[in-house]
Amino acid sequence: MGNSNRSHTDTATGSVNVTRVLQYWRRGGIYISLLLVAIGLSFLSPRFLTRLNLVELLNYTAIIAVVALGQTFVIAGKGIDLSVGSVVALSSCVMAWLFIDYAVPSVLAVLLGIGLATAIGTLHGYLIAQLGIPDLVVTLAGLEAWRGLVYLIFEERVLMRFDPFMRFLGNYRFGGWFPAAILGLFIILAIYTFTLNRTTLGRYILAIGGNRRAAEYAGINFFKYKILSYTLSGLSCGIASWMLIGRLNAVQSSLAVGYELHSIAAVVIGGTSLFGGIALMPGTVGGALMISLIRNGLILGGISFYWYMIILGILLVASVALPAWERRKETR
Amino acid sequence: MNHAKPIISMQGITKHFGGVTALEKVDFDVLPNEVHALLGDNGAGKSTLIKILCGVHQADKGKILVDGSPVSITSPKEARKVGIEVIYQDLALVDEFNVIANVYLGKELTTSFGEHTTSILDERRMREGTKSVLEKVKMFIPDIRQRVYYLSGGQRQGVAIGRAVNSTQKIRVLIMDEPTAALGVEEKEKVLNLIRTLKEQKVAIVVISHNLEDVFQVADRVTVLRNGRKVVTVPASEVSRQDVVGYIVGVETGELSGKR
Ligand SMILES: Nc1ncnc2c1ncn2[C@@H]1O[C@H](COP(=O)(O)OP(=O)(O)O)[C@@H](O)[C@H]1O
Ligand SMILES: [Mg+2]
Repeated sequence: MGNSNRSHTDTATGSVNVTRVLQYWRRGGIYISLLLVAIGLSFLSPRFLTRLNLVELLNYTAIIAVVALGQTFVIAGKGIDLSVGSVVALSSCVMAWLFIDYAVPSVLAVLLGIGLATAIGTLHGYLIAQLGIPDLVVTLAGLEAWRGLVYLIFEERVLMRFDPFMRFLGNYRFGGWFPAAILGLFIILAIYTFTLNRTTLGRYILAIGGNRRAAEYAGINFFKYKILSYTLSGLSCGIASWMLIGRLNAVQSSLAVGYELHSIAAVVIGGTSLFGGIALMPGTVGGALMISLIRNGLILGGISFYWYMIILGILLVASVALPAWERRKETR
Repeated sequence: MNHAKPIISMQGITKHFGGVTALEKVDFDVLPNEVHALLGDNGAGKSTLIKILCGVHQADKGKILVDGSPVSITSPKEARKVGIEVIYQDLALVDEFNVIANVYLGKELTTSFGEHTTSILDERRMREGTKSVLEKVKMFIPDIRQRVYYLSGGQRQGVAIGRAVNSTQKIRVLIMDEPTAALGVEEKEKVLNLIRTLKEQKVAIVVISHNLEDVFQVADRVTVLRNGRKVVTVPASEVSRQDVVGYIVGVETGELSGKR
């Protein structure tokens, strides 16, 4: 801050500098970490930094990144969406089911699947905002219930053989090499970043997350914007489902397990605050990339997959610990 | 003395919360361009009275007149319509937002007209507006893109006041709940100066406080509540601090025991 006529009644100048550094780290830390890990991995395997490998990495990351971008809106509003994996499974299966069992045109099947996921997100938001059930409870119930529904309908079936449109987002490559999934990811990233930072929708979701009572007192409709944050998460799950169908070309009930943890980790590692009010969309993609990078690196290095789980856990705690510590430093 | 007609006049306000009588037949008025201190011990009913005035609670009995005509204020929005703004201690700001976003919270400037679920923010105009609002309340904040979390207590009050006066509706009465609580000496001075500045700009101000030292520096009149009843309303120049302490705790020290 470095301004001489400021008076700090409760803050030593030293800790101000620390918080400044933490502020910058929140914005830029993920990119520095990505760079360092990438450099480390290129020593491990000289082929790591080739164009092909980077494209494949991003392509592989796109699905979870899209889910995490929706999750970012929820966390910006101080919520949490544990249901994303089950919602992706349900909407993927429904898309496939409509197309294969009922010969619904693929465009319509995809739109209906995305619509279903969006409606489910909205329902979660409604239960949370209108009935006052905690976010954790509603989306944990969603995690269980939607997965249960998927198994009830599809059991052990494997649905496959889709048309080019259904496979487009997850499988098509422009010029034979550039994945449509990466293009899709960046388009969604651009739209979500704009929505978060440049529109009243994003501003109000952040406001209810940062200080619900102040926002309400300022005339912001908590219910509306809480619900909309979950609607956007549902929408993201729907789009990710379309991507997933193209990627796998086969759909079954056990799809997308664990997406809740990976998406939340990506969001938090990317610098979005679990305490609400601060969110960074590009950071979320960086966070998702980081998770893939570590996984990729451990595979390249021939290290046990269990290490991946342990490192992910440590990373998650560290990303939350930093801002928590930042908050405690300057309690007023 | 100021013999102008009151802007706001609350008459015979009674409010019960279940079995608790928070307010009993309280009269309270605000004159144009005055600083009116509302004093009383914890639980005396100060916050309840203010919340009724700004539409958070409804009175069980009594009426509110604005410019002499009765009004019913059933929400903060309606209070704002008649020019009443309140700054609550903890309600005012979103810590994670910068100064600009806080000054325009809930009244963002957008590139489209009317109310939509979402519209595009006009950052440039809000930045300019924030600068001029802060100038108006004479609050200097070096970096308005700084999160308010990192501001000092006095600066935060400045932002909250800037937010309150940054209204298309002309603000007539600004109510401040404990504006100097938990501030250092220098910061307190800043806030008291803010109050003086606002007064110069013809805003009537109601200050709720525990701190008599601060109150006596800026107040024109003083009203004391005790156990939900009004004890007295007097010009600040006509009472000593000793008297006021007596009214607050319930030990009558002088002759001024008349319930006016
Ligand atoms: N929302 C409420 N529900 C129940 N009782 C309340 C409520 N608000 C205030 N009270 C009671 O009303 C009385 C006056 O409270 P308050 O107006 O907050 O006093 P003050 O602001 O002067 O400290 C207290 O006894 C308090 O417990
Ligand atoms: Mg109070």
